[in-house]
Amino acid sequence: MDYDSQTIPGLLRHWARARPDAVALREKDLGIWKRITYADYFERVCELALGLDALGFTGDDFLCVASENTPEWMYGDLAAQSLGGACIGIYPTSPWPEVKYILEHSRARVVVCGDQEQTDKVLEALAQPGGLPELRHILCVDMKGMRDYAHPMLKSFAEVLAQGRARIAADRALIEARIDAVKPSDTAVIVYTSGTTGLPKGAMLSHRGLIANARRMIARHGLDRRPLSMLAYLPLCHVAEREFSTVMQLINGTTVSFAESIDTVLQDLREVAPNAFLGVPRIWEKLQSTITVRLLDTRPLPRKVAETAIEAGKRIADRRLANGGRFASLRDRLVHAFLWLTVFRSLQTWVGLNRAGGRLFCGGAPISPEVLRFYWAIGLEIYQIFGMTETCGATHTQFMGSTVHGSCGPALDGWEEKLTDDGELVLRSDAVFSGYLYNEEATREAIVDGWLHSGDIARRSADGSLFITDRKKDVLITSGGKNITPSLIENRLKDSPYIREAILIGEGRKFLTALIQIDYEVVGKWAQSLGIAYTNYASLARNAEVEALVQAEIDRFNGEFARVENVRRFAILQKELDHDDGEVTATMKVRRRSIEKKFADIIDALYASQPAEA
Amino acid sequence: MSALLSVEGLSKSFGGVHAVRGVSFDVAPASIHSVIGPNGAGKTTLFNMISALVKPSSGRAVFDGRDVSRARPHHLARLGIGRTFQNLAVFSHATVVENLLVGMHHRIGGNVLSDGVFFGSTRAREIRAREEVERIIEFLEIEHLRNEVVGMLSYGLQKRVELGRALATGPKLLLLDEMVSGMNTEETEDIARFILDIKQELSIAVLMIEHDMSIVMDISDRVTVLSFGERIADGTPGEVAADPRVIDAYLGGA
Repeated sequence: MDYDSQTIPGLLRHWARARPDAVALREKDLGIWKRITYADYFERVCELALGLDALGFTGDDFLCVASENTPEWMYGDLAAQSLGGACIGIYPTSPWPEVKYILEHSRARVVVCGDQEQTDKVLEALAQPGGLPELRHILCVDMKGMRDYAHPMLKSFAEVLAQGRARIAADRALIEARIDAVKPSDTAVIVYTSGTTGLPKGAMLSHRGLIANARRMIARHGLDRRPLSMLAYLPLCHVAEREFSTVMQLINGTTVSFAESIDTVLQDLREVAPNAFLGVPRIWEKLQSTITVRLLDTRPLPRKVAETAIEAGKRIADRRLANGGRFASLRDRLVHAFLWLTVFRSLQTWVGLNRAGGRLFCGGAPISPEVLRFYWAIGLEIYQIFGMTETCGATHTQFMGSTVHGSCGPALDGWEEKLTDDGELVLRSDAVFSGYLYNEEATREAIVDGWLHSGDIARRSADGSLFITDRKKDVLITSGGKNITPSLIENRLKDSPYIREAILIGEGRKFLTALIQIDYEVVGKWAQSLGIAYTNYASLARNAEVEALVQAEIDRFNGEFARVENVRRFAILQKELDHDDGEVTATMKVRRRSIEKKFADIIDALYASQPAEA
Repeated sequence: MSALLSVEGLSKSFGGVHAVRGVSFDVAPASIHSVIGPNGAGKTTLFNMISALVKPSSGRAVFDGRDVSRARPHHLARLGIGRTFQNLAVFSHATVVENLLVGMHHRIGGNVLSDGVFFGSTRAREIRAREEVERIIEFLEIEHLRNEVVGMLSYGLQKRVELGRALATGPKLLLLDEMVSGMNTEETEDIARFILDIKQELSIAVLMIEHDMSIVMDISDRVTVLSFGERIADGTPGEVAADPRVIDAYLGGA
């Protein structure tokens, strides 16, 4: 197929004709997985496109989706694109002012809401002075609890779909022609970047850029060698999940299963047992801690066996990682095979990743090398990837043959890269985004002479593997003039199973301190085993023995770092960081500035006096 | 509009103590009706009479044309009344699904022969029951807890399972006894939303005893106020809140 002239809806149509009965989507309904074939998928998209057309949606318009991941999310996405428009995802966890900002700024015509909760946020935004002057229609998928809603813009999604269905016999040619008229250079997707600082910006991504970049990733990992089955559970409004679950899906003909809800991801994973999986650090950390906690629950002997096997696995993994991912010796291969048979196989099956080894990815943020090492030890090869919204997804990836520990691997074919004088990574290719929506100035700042400025400080190893050091604006300088990259130290602290989140403080200060969020589940389990009483997160965080536990963990890590990089004091946060309270972004990235402002009293108290030994 | 439940002069004395004295009110179909009152006002005794756990000294409670206060307690579910209790009353060693299936027990039926071999009609019935359970799980948004042992869940979630089990009996009227006491704000809001959905989506009437005034005033269609076993007010939340006797009873005025 000539992918350069293809569009995303064009690809869907291709599969609907080539393999109409292949399973495109799976959704759990009343506890049972229901299948949606490619033919059904395409049919729903056509129906919705005709329904939207009847509502006056044109090729210049934008459609927003505020919903958990569901098939309807994808129908909305593809239907808007089929008409020549673009789709914008809104995080289902976004508080209403964020929803209002995106709807207002993008001047979207139609918003698809997943349920009452999402609809309420849009209605709240509409009720504000000035409202949302460009918005015309709100389509709600799950109308539960909304019997008494009578807003003139509100319709049920099913109703619009039914209107399209009524027209489809007569207007099939029309929708086909609309799909043919979509140009590869058209904007398909607009991703509002979460923005750890400042207001979100809408990055415009074209059909061509998305398809070209996904193909590079597929080629690098040979993902087209067999039919893939994946689980869609990260927010589809994020470029990574869209690249894997929509664009790659439509290039490979993948089966995408939707997680039943945010809380069921780990169970869904076990049931679906996908043969490829994309995780963010938080998910990998979470999976690892479920394994660790589970091992703590077993009897001493099996636990000892598992721990010994994992330790042995780690030694083999170290040699493998140093050898580009391949076994360093026959002996290692045999020992690993034995450990796999006795221990690792059941661990892998228990988390549902036994079919996915070698097609596991970690993106979104830097992951602690220690976590990666754990997975390699139990025979789950995870490749770190690096990518940005503005690059249509992944640009760098580790792969079998290049697994320099702690790196994101070399650039994909088609990407040129260089480091500026101050160490910033800049990139160039045909998949660089087309610009920020209605924001020429920000676009000019991001793309200079054709090079996209990533905002990340990076370095490269001899073989071309990329190491991301930190966000350019996050590097902090102590009053002693020492440049510190917080993420390095923070990630090391987060290696402790007891520490969920660590925020390093020290800009313009004499020494470093940290705000710590403990892992409620793991510390809770620890407290229970010692008979320490607690009622909730706050009471656990205030406990003196918990403080001693964290102190011991920090002391341990301090030994590994230079003295200026030592965390001299810390405070345990009395609440868990939350998107609603503006402390983390929807993807759980820490909003440093907002946290420093919010917890200013605590930080001042940390610096109220010199530490004893200084 | 005829009442779904008519409470007609219910009274109960324990020895010389008049716990409930001649209380009457009507519950309309698919409405939310709250009973409020200070501690010891006789609310739970009233509930226990309506659900046939305590025999009234006099008066009756007519549900769907029959006096349920003198029915056998275990027939109540079949008559169309489900209830939750002030204290948790779930099967704490069973899973969520098992708890809900128990709620459905009286509707499943069956015969010894086919049940013994799990064949034919038994199989079909079991599948239908499981499907119904899934609908309740979806309704109460507890998909992630399906196979969890109920005793391991937080208090708020255990209450949600108890509510689910009451729904599984397929009631026309739900009696909820202090559903939200001991819950945090978020859990309380969730329950309030579920109670509204039960009325609107499932057209089930809800009669609830509640201490949390905010939830009572927010979602009730009608409120009955008891004090020392007697009805002192009955009306819409607005009317009741403005009633001087209610303010007296609550604020302990002169």
